[in-house]
Amino acid sequence: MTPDKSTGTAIETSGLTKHYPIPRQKTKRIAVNHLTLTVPEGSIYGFLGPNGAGKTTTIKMLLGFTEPTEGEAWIFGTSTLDNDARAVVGYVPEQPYFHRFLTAQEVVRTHGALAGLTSAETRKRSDECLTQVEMIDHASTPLSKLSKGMVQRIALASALVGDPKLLILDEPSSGLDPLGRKFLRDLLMQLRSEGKTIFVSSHLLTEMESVCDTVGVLAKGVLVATGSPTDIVQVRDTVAVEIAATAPDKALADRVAEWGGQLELDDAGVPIRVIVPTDRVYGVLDIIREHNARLVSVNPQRESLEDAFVRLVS
Amino acid sequence: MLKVMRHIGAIAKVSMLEGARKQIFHVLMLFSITLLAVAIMLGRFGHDVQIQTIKDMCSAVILISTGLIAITLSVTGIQQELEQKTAYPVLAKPLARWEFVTGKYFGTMGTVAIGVVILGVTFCSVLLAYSGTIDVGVLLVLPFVLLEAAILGAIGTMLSTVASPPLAWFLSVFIYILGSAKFGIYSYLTGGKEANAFSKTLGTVIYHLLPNLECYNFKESLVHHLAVPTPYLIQTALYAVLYVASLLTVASLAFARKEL
Repeated sequence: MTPDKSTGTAIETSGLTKHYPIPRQKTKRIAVNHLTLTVPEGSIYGFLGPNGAGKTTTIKMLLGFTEPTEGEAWIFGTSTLDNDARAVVGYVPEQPYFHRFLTAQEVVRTHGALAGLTSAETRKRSDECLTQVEMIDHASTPLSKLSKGMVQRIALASALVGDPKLLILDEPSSGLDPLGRKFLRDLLMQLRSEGKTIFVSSHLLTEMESVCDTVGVLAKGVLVATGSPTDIVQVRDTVAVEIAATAPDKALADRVAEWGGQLELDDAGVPIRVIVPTDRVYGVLDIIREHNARLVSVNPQRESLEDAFVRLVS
Repeated sequence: MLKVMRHIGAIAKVSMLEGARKQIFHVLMLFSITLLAVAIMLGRFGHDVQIQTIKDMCSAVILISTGLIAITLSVTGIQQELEQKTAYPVLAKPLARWEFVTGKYFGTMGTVAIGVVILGVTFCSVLLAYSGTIDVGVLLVLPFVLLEAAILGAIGTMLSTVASPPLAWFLSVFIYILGSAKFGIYSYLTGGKEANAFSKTLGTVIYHLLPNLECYNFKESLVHHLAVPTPYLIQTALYAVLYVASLLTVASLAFARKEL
């Protein structure tokens, strides 16, 4: 089966499997097991999974570093076994290693030449990309003099220099400080708005929850869930009502309990939150008003992506 | 075709700069330059004999040093890229594995060429310091030193795709030694009275498989001012090109099958 190139699918895999032989044993380690996924063009796809789940092996197969034992994969309709599939791909490895004696500009220009750009195009795109990742002021600085976060930005510039339609990032946030993570998040959003597809593997779930359109959860080489982050998490049938009271109120606790709710107190015994079944929230709000407690917020309770991840992979 | 040249050029440029910064390259160069410089002090002969001794010793030092530099840099080139993971962002670009192997090889040869130029200049300086003139015969020797190094670099590159760097280094040096004494080995295995069918076959196989490195040694011609026929020079250069192309093809096939 070869997918149609005009279907708007950036990545498609069908039964993608990778076995590694175990030395001096007849058995094989299954790194990826019949992985079938679809990444729509123009979206951010979060590829989640614990360490050893098979995320990097999948990326290696997509980039042609290793051949699948079974199954196939396509990038914009071109088989990943074909070198041309990578013509539209920019790749940022987990820990970007470059020759550290090269300057930032030399690294990006080298990758421009490797992406097939002419010398003039390479010079132009190199400056544009270094500006985009806010490293143009360090263009002439050798990588050995740059911090890890800065080298990560150079890796992004090197991946972007060929103006790829698809960006594959392997754990891009690892080792970045909060400012670096925010920068990366903003950049990913900007690239998506430019129409690029982003396939990002990570185990930093809060990062993924805020930027991804779709996530796939991989556990022991098997895709155990896929969908939007809101589809993946389970919505609980309870509501959290945040309140501000001035003193401990035993009667409030009793009345909330009558409605099937549960009152949470601070260290001084003052009520701060009521957890109540969704269908009884209005009754509890009346009780709170009667007891002169100030209403702060009412939020439906839902599982975080982290909770969902733990549930799915365990 | 232009795209392929651009790929190979980009990899070769970085590889050449990388090679020129390697400590082992600096050490070998320093050692060779020192040997060339002390050549002037070794002789205790008359002026003419002394010049011949200097030429003989210097050309031998350049030949051996360049060969060792080519082997050492080529066996570590690709493996180091994989170990340090610098190859991954490169191979994620739309280029074929053979382009990577070829680029690495030409980069290594670029570094070797830098070394040959430095050693050649030192050689000429030693000659100039002792005799007051420079022998233009040196200009004939140096390109062929580089051609021999090209063969050795290709052997190193090919072996590094199937063996660890230390093993590839020892095998390359072994082939270097055998290739430099190829006719002697062939004569010994096939020419003696005790030579049997097995040793004759073995001799013939070794003769055809090993590179003929003796044909790049123009030491005698340089020392004794012997003319070398132009067709022979062309033939020797073509032999190197074909040998290198064959070895790089094997290296590319082996690297293409490698799981990264």
